[in-house]
Amino acid sequence: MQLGYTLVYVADVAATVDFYERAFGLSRRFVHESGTYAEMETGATALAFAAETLAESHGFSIRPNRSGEVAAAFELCLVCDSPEQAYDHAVAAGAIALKPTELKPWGQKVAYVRDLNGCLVELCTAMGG
Amino acid sequence: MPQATDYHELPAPAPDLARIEALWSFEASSAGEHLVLPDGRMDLIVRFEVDADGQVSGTTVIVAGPAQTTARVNVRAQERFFGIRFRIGWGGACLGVDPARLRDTTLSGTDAERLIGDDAQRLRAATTVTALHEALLDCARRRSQQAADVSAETTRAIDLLHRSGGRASQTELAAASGLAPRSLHRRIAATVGLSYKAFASVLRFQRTMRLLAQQPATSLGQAALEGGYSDQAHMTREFRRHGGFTPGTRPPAVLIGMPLGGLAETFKQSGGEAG
Repeated sequence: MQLGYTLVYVADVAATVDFYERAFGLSRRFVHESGTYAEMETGATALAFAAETLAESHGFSIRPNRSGEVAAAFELCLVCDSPEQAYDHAVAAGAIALKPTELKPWGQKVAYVRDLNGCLVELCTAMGG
Repeated sequence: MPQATDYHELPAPAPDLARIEALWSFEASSAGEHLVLPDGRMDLIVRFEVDADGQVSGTTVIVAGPAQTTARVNVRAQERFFGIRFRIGWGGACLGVDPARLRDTTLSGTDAERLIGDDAQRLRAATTVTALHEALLDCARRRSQQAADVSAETTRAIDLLHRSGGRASQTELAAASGLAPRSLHRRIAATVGLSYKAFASVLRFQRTMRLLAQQPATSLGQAALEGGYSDQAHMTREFRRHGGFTPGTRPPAVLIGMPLGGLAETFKQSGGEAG
C-alpha cells in the first residue's frame, strides 16, 4: 500500500486552488472542468481538493472544515527551504498565523498556519535535509 | 523591569507527579508589579527571601484558587517564589478543598496553612533553598498520591476542552466523554471550580493571548476568529473581563509573571535550575 493522494473536501475548489497558489506558491496540476475537483503539483504525494457536494454524491457525509471552527485533528505538511519566508508569504496572502517558525530539537524548522478553509498547514524543512 | 526569565520550571521526577503540572520558581530580578493572568488552575506557593549565606527567611504559604481575572502582584527585588501548579482539574482533589470555594481567591499566611495542615510546617521549617525545594517536592508527591479520584470521564472532558482552546461545545464534550450534559456541567464546576462557560472563556482568553504574544503577532481580526470569538467586539469584552485590558492595549509579555498557556508551553520552558 502507498499513500497516493490527500484529498480535502472544500466549499470552493477554485478559491482553494487559487489560495494555495498565492499563499504557498504551489501550482495546479489538474483542474476538472466541472470545478469540483483539482490537484496541486506537490511531488509524489498529490494534494487534491474536491467539492463538498461530491461527498454527498459519493454516499457519505462529512463535517466541513471552516476557519471559524476549531481545526480538525490533521494537518497538511508542506516541505520547503525557508519556513520563515513561507510563513510570512502565507500570512500576507491571508492564511491565519498560528505559530511562527521554530527550530525543533531534532533540527527541523516548523511553522503553522491555517488555510482559507481552516485546515492546519505545517510549513517545514525536510527531515535530515 | 521584570524579566521573562524570572520564571523557571524546576526539574522534577515526573512519574509520581501525575497530578502536578509543574514545579516552578520565580525570582524577581527587580521590584515591580507582575501580572498573573487567569488560567483556571490552582497553585500552592511559598514566598520567601534568601540572604547572602543562602538562608531562607520569611516563608509565607499561599494557595491560589482558580481565577477568572488577572491578579496584580507587587514583588520586591530578590524576593523568591516556589510553586506547585496542579494539573487542570486536580487542584481541589490534591488540596482536599472544594475549588469553587477558592474561586478568584488567594489564601495567604495562616489561612493557607490551615488548609494544607502539616505540609505548612514542613515548608516553613526549611532554612535553605535546597531544603525548601525538597520539602516542596515532598509535598507535591504526597498531595499527588493522596488526591481524591477525579473520574476518567471528567478528566477526559476537561482535557478536551483544554485542547480545543475552550472552543469545544458542551454537546461535543458530553458525547466525547460519555457524560450526560447535566452531569458534565456539574462535574466541571465541582472539579475545576469554574462553570463550563467561565472555564471555556478563560481558556479562550489564554489561547488568544498566546496567539497575540507571537512575533509577528496575529492580527486582531484573525486572533478573534482563531480564538473562537463571534467577533472582535466579543474578544474585546472578554479580554476586559479576564485581563482588565483590551487586545490592542495588552501588556507586554515580560510583565506577565507566569508563562502563557497550557502544557506545551510549560514543557518548553522546563529545565530551569532549582538553586
